[in-house]
Amino acid sequence: MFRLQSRQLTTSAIARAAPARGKAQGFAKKTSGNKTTARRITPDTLYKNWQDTVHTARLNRYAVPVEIPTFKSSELQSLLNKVTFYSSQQYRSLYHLGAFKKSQFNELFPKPISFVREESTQKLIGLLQNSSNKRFVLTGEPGVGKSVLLSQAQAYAAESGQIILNFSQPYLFLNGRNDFFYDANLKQYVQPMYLKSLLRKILKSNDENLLRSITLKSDYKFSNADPKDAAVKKFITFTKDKNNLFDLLTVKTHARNRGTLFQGLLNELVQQSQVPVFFSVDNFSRMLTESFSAYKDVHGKNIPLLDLQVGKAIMEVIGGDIKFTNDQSSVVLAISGVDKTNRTLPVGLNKLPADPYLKRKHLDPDFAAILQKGKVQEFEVPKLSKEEVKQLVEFYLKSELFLNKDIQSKSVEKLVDEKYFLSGNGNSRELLKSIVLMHL
Amino acid sequence: MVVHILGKAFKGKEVIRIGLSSKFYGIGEGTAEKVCSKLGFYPWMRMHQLSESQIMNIASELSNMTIEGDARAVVKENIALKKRIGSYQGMRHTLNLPVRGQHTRNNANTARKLNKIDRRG
Amino acid sequence: MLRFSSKGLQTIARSSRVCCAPSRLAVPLTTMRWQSNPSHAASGTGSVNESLSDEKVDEWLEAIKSLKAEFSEQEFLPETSLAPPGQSRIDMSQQISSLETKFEPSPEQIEEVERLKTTPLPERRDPVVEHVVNMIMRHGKKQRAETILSRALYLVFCQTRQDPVEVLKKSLDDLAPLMVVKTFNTGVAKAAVIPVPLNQRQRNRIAWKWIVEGADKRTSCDFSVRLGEELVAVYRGKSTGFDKRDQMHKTAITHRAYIKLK
Repeated sequence: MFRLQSRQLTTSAIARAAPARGKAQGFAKKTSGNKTTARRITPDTLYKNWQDTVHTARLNRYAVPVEIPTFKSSELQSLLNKVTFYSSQQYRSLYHLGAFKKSQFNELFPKPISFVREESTQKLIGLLQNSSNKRFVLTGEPGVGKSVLLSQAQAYAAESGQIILNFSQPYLFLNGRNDFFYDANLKQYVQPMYLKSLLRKILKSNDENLLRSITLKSDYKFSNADPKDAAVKKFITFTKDKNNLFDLLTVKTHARNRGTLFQGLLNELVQQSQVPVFFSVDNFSRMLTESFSAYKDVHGKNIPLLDLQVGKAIMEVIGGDIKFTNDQSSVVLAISGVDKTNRTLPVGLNKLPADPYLKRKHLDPDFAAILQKGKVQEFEVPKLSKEEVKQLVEFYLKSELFLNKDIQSKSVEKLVDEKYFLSGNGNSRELLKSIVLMHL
Repeated sequence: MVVHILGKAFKGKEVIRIGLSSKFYGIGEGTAEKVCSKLGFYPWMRMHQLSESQIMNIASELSNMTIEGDARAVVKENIALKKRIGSYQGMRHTLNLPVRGQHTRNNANTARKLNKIDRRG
Repeated sequence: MLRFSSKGLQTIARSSRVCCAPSRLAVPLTTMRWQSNPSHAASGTGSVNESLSDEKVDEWLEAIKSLKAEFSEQEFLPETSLAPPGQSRIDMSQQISSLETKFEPSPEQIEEVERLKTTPLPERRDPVVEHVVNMIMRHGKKQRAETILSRALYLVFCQTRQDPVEVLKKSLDDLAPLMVVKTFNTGVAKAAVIPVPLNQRQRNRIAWKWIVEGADKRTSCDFSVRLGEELVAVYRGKSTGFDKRDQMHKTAITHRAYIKLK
């Protein structure tokens, strides 16, 4: 009797119990969505977002090779309106400088290409060779080719034996992701981690022999941080006229001294007169539109850009307070089309009158004054002309970028007309986008 | 790598200001940022980058503030004061009901769960 | 008086536009055009005064005087005043009717229209791609769906270097099943399991479902990257969707006896 009862109890309990695992327990509750297993990431896995994937997945392995000439600044006239590769020496330099950016569609070609234009490339290089005041800021709408033009100028500098000093992304030292400390000697905030990568960039992007050819103008003494012989040798000393710039760049010292090291490097570059210096800043508008960095001082106030060692150095070079002895040296700045805009640049270029009532957010009088003092000239990158679009479209046809339906149904002239219109009358990034990102 | 500050464990990869504000009662984003900038840490410094002395500095900085038990005590005190002076808000607290004029026909679960004289904080 | 004269000037300006300016008026055309542009005149009167020489002013005054004389001596007769040089008067009714003549297509144009009547308008958008976009779309956000597909196809293009739209079509066609088994209630004890052929759209839909399932097993946080990777896998025949297709075909073959052929 007892047995029977207990049995009945269990059956009813089962009936009332929750449904089996994995089945929906209630209305409108989905069973899916419990992704708990971590997926393994192998070298072939594409795990980043689209933009990073496209930039880093080495998709240029599959690109169609096309025979095109090599960029050479001495033969620009013959290269006009032609798509070119850089030389391998230029590529090495440009890669280290960070000249090839995301969203430039470099993965479509075996190597990053450059289109030599009369209105931009030839004109700018001509100005860099012959102009008396070699300070330019490249302006233009997003995607028109400011960064590409800057990299062409850098390639020209690398080829003509100049020392290149490039700041590819100002946010790297502004956004507060690197460490900093106040250097009492320099009376500035120094960012050792950023400077380390910057010094490495300078070392790698310039020719070793060129750096070795520049002898130091003053003595230096740094504490030794080389793990090999730090115990034996406490200090590394560089003597004037004996050591060279290469030694200075390769020194392994403590983070505390890196501000002094950078200052010393800059001084050496300024004082030497044998090699011209090519000083460039890409995405310069980021510096102009934000007067304060994300760093905070001990009182909790944001540190102004001009109190940071790097920011101050850049601004002094632009304003002419730091003047390179070699008069072939040049300063080229390129703004970014995606940054926010304010009136600092137009006022600095004397295109607008300064309004004293504007807030610093809208007009930074210090920066505007620096730009005016350095007599920075605007170099507006023009849009592509129809002839240039035609050349590019022909190159893209050779690289097999077009959809079959476009090639079959349209003549080249019609394609050029259509793409010229779709690219917003000659915006080079939009042109490429209209070819490879429009499948409908 | 785990870092311990005032008896709380932090993952090494945690950003200092975010970690502090999420683990300590009485420290929000703003206070955490103030502490960090006062001690000279950069905004995105992470826990594993702290040296022993810096951890001590944070600990001493935090021990001068009203956090955790002290901060909770302040809230309790305020509620007790409201009750003592016989205000409406104090009464609502004792009755386990919403204080700021919300409806009580439905819901009001948060108030029913939390509001009492000896509030958790 | 002033108003009247300016009106007259405008009339002359208008007539000069149809290339029959009265030859007796020696007003230079450029100045007249300037006068007929009121916005320009309003914007910079000061600078204009400087540029006008004394002779030009005299010329203007002369022209205004002759106009006044013309209008004050007799009433306005457009037949005579608008007549081209070397002709005393024009027929206004004829002028108006000539303005109203309709467009007459040339024989070549008519021939072209006839020729193109038979050829259909080309599809503005590819129907398969359009269908896929609609399947990606959630909450009516078509633009977003298009971006996702375009980016995925860009990734496909970069990896295969083939026309991505054709790759998409081919992989859909490869993956899609031909038959599906459907269960019909016969009313008697046993339900009938009958293989049914699918049309193109149904096939694409099932194939797309499998592609998305395969894509969701991939790592990237970006749907377009996952989709691009999966599309390449399908194109190369490495997707798990092919097993599902084979399974479906197998069941259809086992039930082939139930196919009703009329």
